[in-house]
Amino acid sequence: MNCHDVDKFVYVYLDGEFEQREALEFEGHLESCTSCLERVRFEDNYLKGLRTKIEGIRAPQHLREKILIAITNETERVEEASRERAASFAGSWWFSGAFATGLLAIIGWQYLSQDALTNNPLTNPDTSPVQMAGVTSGGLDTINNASRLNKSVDRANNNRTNSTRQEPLVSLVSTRVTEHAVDNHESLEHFELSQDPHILREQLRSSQSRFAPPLPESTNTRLLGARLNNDGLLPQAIYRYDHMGRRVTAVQSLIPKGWGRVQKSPSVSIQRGHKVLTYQDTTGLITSIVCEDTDCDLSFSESGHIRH
Amino acid sequence: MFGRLSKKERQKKAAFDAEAIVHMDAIYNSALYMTRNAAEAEDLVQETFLKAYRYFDKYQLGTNCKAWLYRIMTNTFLNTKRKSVRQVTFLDEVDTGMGEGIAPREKTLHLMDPEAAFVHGTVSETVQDAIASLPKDFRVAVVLCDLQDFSYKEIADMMDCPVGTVMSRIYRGRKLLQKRLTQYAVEQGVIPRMESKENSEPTSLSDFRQRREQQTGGQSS
Repeated sequence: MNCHDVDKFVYVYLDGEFEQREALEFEGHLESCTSCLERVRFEDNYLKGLRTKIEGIRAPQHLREKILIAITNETERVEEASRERAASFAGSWWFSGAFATGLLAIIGWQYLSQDALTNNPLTNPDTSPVQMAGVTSGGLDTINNASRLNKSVDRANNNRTNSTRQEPLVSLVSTRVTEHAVDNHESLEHFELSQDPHILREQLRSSQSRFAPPLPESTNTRLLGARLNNDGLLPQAIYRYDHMGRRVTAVQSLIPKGWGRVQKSPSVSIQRGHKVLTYQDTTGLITSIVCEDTDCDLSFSESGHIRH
Repeated sequence: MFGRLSKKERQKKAAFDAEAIVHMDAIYNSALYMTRNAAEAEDLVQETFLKAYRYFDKYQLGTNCKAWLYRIMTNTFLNTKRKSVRQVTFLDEVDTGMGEGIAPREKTLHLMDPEAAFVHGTVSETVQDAIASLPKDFRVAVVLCDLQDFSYKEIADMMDCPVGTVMSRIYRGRKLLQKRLTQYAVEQGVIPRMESKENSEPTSLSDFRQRREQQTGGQSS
């Protein structure tokens, strides 16, 4: 410890930030150097003086009231919103489910009635003599009907996979996850995330889910924090990364097994000025990664989604 | 208004009142010193408490709620300011190279004014103005340290920077403050004008003549 160190660490000493050993060393120098001792006394007087001059001004009553009202409003708004969200989300699922079933029924009915029409020799002039004969011959009739039924089920199935059932699911779930990712990217602040990597891993493990940080960590890509959420219906994990000084947010949602693949191939889109990559892995986990800028190079995330 | 809240929300609200609302005076006081004006301070306090309430589930009961609130406030304050003023690089430059270049001036000051009369003789408003004139990052560090007595580590957590940076910001902030307060004190006549070489030289001739005149006047009477 020399005079320069005393100069540099005088506040560290006065603020009690030194460890005991360091403080003793510091005081050791002061015993042998009157100039430094005077210097430290002066700084001590300065800080004491400064603190007595800082007034404790109380928060005005109107502010207190304003905040209490704002909190009550916020509480009501949140409760209202969560009720509405639950209702509308359930409603939209119910609606799309009902819609799909309805459409299927209509199409099924159309196919069946078409089959019935083709089957009717009186109304269909193209009916072949074999089929006409089949009307009377019981054995042939059965075979023909069975093959037609199979065909019609195949057609209906085909139709179902192509448009009726799969499409609304794809647009709903992946759009929702993507939107969530962009929302969180913009508004989620770092203090809302669990920062301690140990706590984080513990949380992920205890959640007994397949959640796993989607991006491989490197010197360019650092995981800053994460949190687990339950978005009304789907369990979610939100991750915040720093990729070369830029904010990157990822949202993972667990899709129930029965829902199948909601995102067939990875998609890249621009949302509110951010570049977003969305993909689903074979375990049903759907991940949306949001980059700060549209010119962001998403190739750094590739190894992540290939891994899945 | 209240009847519509669920039991869970009412419990949360009660816990929030007991744990967080009690710190409003301290938070407001610091916000006032940080923002330099009452309207801005009120906005900052309100935003802080709303955010705190929103994420109150994240806060673990029994841990230091005051530090948690300060973290939200500091974060909110620094982030909003950063969006409007692009000053960060400049301040980061200021942060590096701590201490050098300030020491010589201080050496003369502590010998001239060992009791630090420059601060004891001043008024609170002057101190408030002087703190307000500090660059933002220094100001926040000084407020958190000298108003609220947080440790360097706690401040580092609140300002989202390393402890070394906090140490440097506190050092530089207090030194700048000292310099401003000394200037006020000199203007007020609380402490005499410093007789350091750089200061005396430009006025040396008139000073010299004045002194001579006083001396000869004193001798003749």
